[in-house]
Amino acid sequence: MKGYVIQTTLFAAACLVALLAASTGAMATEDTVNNEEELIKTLQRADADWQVKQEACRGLRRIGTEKSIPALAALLNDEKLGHLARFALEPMPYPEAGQTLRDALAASAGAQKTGLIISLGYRRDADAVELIASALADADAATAAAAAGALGRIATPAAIKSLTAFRTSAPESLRPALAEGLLAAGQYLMEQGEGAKAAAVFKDVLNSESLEHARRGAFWGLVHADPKKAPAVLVKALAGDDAVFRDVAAQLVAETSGAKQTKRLAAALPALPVEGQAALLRGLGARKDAVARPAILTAMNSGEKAVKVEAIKALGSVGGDLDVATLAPLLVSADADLAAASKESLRNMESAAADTAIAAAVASAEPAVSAQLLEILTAHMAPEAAPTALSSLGNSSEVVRVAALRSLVVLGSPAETPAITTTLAKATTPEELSAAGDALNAIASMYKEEVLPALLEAMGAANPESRKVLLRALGQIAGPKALEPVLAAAKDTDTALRDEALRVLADWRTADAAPHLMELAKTDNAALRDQALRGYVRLAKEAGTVEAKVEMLNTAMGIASSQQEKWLVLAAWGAVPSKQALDTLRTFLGDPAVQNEAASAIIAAATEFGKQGAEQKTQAAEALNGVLAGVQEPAIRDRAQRALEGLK
Amino acid sequence: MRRVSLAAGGLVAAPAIITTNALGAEGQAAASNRLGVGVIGTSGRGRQVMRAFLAQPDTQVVAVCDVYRERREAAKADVDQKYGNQDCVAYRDFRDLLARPDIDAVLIATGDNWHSGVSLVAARAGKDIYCEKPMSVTVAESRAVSDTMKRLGIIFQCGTQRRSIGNFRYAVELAQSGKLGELKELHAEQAPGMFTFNYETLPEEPQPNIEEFDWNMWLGPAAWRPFNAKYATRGFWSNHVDFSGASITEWGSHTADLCQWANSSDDTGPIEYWQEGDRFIGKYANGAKLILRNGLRFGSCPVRFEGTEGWVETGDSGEIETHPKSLLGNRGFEGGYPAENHVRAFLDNVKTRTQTVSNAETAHRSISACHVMNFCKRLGRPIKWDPAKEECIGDPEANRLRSRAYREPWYL
Repeated sequence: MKGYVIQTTLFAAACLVALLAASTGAMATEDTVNNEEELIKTLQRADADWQVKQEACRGLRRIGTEKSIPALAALLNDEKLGHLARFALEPMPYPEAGQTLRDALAASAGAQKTGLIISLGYRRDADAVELIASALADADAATAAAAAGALGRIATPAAIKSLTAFRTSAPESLRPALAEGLLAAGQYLMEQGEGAKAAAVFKDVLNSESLEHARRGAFWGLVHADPKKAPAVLVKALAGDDAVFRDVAAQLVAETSGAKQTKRLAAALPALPVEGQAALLRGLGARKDAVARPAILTAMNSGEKAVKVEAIKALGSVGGDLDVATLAPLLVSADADLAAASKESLRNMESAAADTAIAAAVASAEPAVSAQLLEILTAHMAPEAAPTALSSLGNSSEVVRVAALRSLVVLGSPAETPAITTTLAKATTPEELSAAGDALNAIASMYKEEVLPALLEAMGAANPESRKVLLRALGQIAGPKALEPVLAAAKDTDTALRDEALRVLADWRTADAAPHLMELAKTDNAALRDQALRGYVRLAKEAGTVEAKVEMLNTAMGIASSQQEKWLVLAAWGAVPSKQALDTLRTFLGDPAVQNEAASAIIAAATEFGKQGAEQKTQAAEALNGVLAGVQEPAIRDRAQRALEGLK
Repeated sequence: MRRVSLAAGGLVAAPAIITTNALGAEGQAAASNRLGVGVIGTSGRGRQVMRAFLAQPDTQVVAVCDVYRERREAAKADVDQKYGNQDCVAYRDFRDLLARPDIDAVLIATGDNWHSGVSLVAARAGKDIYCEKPMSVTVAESRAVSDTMKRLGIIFQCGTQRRSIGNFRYAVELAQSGKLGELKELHAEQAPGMFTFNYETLPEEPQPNIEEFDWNMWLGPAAWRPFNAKYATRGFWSNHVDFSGASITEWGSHTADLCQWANSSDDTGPIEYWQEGDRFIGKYANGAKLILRNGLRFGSCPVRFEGTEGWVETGDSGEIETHPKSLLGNRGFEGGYPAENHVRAFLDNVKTRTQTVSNAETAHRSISACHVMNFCKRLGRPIKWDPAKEECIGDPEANRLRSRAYREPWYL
């Protein structure tokens, strides 16, 4: 901790800029300064302050050679600049840098001592082991912990010995750092190809340490350091009572590899307790080694449900096309857990051959199975998915046809549209009609006019129920060509069909429906009138220009007779930030029946309009002042006042 | 072909098992079958992700920590309001929070400068970790984090939550499954408006009371400097060379990460890097290029994967476009970048001791790619990179940028 405060002056910063500029010919930074001599001189100047020297250290971190080491060494035990000197020295590849840090350590104390240990550890300085080891007993807990960490990084036999030797006398508070130091040493040895030595370190920690996370780490290291013995180590944990270690073992089975090891693990499966078998099966599934397949198939016959479930799940990951026939019937198992496991397993199959097998099974399986296989094939994005769904539309089972239609919601394109409309025409149940509608809506939404011919052709021959579905799909396309059959249906004698057409029309997304909606909004049928007016007002808000919006909303206001209708149109005006909107809305402030709605719309429109420029701000303020002058409702007045202040 | 399961999670799915910590092993208090969670760093993002933890039925946020009094008290108020009590404890020093035995896992949402440092100390305390991105400010930092998580058996999830969001997962699955053909270019958006590094030293200001704002702890492992309040503002530190990696790591931690995943490069990285205008390019051993750039579509953090047979582009708006169209079919995705799925997956990984989707090694590799791009930017030259040794080939000067000496008492 550095509690000191130093004086940093703008003058010092100016000196630095001048120095760096002089050395580089431009505004230099620690990334561009390139004159080592100047930087060294800066460090040696008695009149240079912290600001200038710290920048010099930063520059030397990148370009410093052996020449700069003495100047940096002089700062190492400086309370204010010691860390910055390490900043430069720590990454230097020169032995002299290490020697300098060791020399400084011998004469250091407190925070500087801790820092020097950290840097020597980072450099893996084997010559510093003795010095650092003596710091394990330092009264400062931070220094002792840093020493343990540094010795772990250095990882020489002497470093490891110092860590293990100190364990017996170490205070309890240092034990985690000692354990981690040893684990770090084991990890480094393993990376250096010293697996046996690493394993010895990990085994020592595993057997002597009580900290759970250190034991987990030692277990991880032991398995990775000695792959030949790994199966025995893992099986021992899997056979044990510790649930967490069983889980860790399962994860290690997953993340390690080797056919021989897989074979040994698989061979151990039957003798494990139920929990161990389940964990091992999870691990083998994620390990994805086909060597385990026979053992997994055997485990599928286990009398223990937990084992059976995990075996089923694992089979999909290690098996392939041959296992589709085994797993598929389980999709409709009476036991929901087995059924879910089977689905997950098939979902996890990765090979193209498996997809081919799944596709083939769709045609021959019982309907409920075929339906789920179609879903899996779709999720796999398999090339067979769309053709299989298409051919399944001709299946005699509605369950399969519905599944195929759901598949085509995702995969369908114009090519499949005629087959879908044919299926639609034959559909009689709400579920199949709905599924066909969903598929057509999805395709129409994505491909628009491309599917219009197929839909129009289908409209001509469709029965009333399927025509309703087709109308909704036409609504996804919109535009004048799609509108024609909708308008025709809106005049049909079939009331249900007509109502559906009107619903579609009310939701129409292109402006060509507007005149028709206006006509409908003038009828005496209240429900129809309301629906049409809402559709018209929505199109007005979405119109391309302010002028068009104004014209349409004026038309709408012209026919709005009920209070609710006026509210609807007034609210829409609020979404048109324009002078026309504000002027129109102000005329309604005198009408008590709609005054509050008009005021709310003015606030909304004025807030946005006022952002458009100075003149608009003035006009918006006038409108808001009009609200304040004419409206008594406190909440609205408050909002108007805030909007007015917002304009400022 | 590797399948990216659309159900969030790691390598192994397993029934939920509470850790012994939560069950009160080793003399620790039982936590009513909930995982005890501590939150370190409670500014906007921290509180946002904290809410995802608060929403989990099997989690109890028991403590929060921030160097700002105002922030930690606001976070405590959030937690207390959620649970209807006053039990959440607010700490200034995260080491006090980590000392609590009833905390199984921590959310780390400090400034970038502290992500690795706090992760290391938390791991040493035996806590599982959900840590915001970017994972580090140097290659050496996140290498140390990855190594430490392994050797201490810690479950670590980096806050690259797009790995748990449908449209991004779908795009990655298209790439990994070969449906785009041989991958050629992996485009990753970099953050706008913070392209230039900031090297500034500000004039000293009077240091606030430590309880109001702990300047020394805010600095953490970075070099000490005299206090100035401006350092701690998001717009300043986020492209300051001492505290962050600027535009490249800000979004690259997400977008380059997705590219790494798409190229099945979670345990490696590009072998050559160079800059072309405002683009940074990394070339993988398989010939594919990672291109950090601007101008992609579909909201924040977009990516685009191009192969010989097609391409996919998506972003936070949820919009996704493919060529050919049939690769997408009629699929649709919701927009946004919520952390809920990612947090839930992390908690399941903790309970089952399984590997996370954004584990420390994958996050280290992707942020390393960003760091090496920053070497090109800072030094103005191409870099050849050895992903196995994690060193610049033939460029000792660049190699020195891989690490920075940690300020005592913090160490890697």
